[in-house]
Amino acid sequence: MDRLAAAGIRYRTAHRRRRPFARALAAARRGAARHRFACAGAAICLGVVIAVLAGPSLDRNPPDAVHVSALMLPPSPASWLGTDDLGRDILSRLLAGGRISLGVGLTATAAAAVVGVPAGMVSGFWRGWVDGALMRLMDLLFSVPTMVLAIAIVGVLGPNLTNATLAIAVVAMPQFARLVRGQVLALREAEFVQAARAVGARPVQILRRHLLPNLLGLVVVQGTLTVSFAILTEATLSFLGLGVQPPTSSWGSMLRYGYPFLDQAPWAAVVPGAAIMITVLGLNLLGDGIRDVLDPHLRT
Amino acid sequence: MARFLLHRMLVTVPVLLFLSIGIFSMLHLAPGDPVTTMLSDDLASPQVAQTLRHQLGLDRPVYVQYGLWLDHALHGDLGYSYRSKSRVSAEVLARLPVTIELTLLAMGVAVLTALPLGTLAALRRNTGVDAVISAGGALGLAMPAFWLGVLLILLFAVRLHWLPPSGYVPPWQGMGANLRLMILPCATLAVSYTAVVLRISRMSVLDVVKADYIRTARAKGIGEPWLVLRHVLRSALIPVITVVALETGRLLGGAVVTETIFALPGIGRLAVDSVLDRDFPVLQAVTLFMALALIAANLLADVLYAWADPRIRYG
Repeated sequence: MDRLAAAGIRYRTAHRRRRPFARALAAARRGAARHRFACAGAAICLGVVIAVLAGPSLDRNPPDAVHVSALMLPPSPASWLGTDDLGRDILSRLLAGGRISLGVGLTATAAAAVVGVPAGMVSGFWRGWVDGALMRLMDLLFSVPTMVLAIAIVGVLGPNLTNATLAIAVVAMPQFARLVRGQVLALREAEFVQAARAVGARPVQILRRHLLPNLLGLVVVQGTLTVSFAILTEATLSFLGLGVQPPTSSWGSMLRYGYPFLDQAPWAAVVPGAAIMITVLGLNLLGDGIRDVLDPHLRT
Repeated sequence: MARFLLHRMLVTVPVLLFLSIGIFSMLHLAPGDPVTTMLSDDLASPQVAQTLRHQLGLDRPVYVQYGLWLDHALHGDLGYSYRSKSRVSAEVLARLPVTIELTLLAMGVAVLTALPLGTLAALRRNTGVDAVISAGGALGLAMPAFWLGVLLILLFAVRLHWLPPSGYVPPWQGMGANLRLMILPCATLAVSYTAVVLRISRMSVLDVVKADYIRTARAKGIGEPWLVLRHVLRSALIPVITVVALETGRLLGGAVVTETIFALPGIGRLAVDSVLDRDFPVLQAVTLFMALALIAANLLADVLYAWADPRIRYG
């Protein structure tokens, strides 16, 4: 038994020394096999991002061009995904609309994180009345269903893309704040924080140099899932007519305007919905996958 | 238990109060003048507008308006809709049964499908069954409710003509017609909720199955069905209850979308219409009502915990 273990160790160290690249590749392959869903998610996200970034510039057909002679054509070699009720090419609109959908998703998530993460850090680190006030505010935001709150905010500010983005950021923000606060509450008692304190580090320094790096994994996971939430919420708002306004379109608004022609041109409503679903699925798989890697305890 | 419930209910009072202040001030700081919206025809003179503004109390300071609104609200009067000129409370009450029926049906369907499937997936962990169920859950979570609604209408109403695409018949006018119209909306609303409950039931059962007392029970020779029902599910239920309650918000938000697609005259539809019409008294009432429903759901969850886990005692 002992000899076997020794041999095993010797084999492994020798292996590591001789072929670092092959070893890394093997580890990646093992990781990919173990996190099959996460890899699928990453691949989907990558595909969507590339299509949306590169697509519109490769496409010579302007997405808003109306073709009266080509109304509601089914998918064909000329227009791969068909045309809508105004004869606009759905693939072109899908690629252009994807920029809006992804743009809103990323912007709203970034805004939510930029406000929520510091709020959670401050709340968890200093506690006291700041914590009390901030967390009661979060409770208040949590007490209204997110979709309803987003609709109310858009209702007050007026329905357009900027306000929809803002509304999504507001409803997503408490998630970041709560999550980060919980983690900071646990970390502030950790030895390395006590040590930093003992050598006289200022609170801001502790937060930035010692706590923030330890929160990044959590924030990345939450961020990925928030992007998917934001894309879904934007699509919902736009579907209800409360988000992006014509002539600009996102995936949600394409569905809104394709929906009345469901019996003549179902592809006009089915295609943008599929795009939303695939993107959201990719982001969810990726987010869950990163969480599994970072925190094996939570593996599902 | 009674004391705990009383305490919990008292705690919600300040939450609701602050929420109403927040919503009230938000709506009154909003750009756009409701009086101009109401008098949409250009013929209305400034005098008429002034009179109307006075009648609605919109010429008073915001805090006075809030005090008056709160006073009236506590007496059951939520003001008048700018659009239909009828009582907001009457409008909300008239639409309430639709939303309650829709959400309760969807919740029932979701829990009744998710719990057995989640348990099955956990018990057959890492098999084909688990993979299929989990993949289905992931798809359900990513599926936008409005898109699913569109697909269901396309398949069952447009292509197969099995079910009506949209509309609403109150149950007291015909239970059969009502349920037929509710099938598609209910399925639409239930899917993402089912996905969430499925996930948590699977995780929760996985956790419980590892516990020592399950091994002990097995060692004592308890039959598998009884073991699952009596020992596994009961303990696994607590996180499931939490999620079912917490995700009521998702359900209520989903109801907004579902009611819009299927032309159901519910509260969610009212919310969307009130936003498009800038009908603030209605929007305010609906938002507060949704918050109240969410709070009530969480309160109910606390009561159910005590039932599921005898160790939990409130007092």
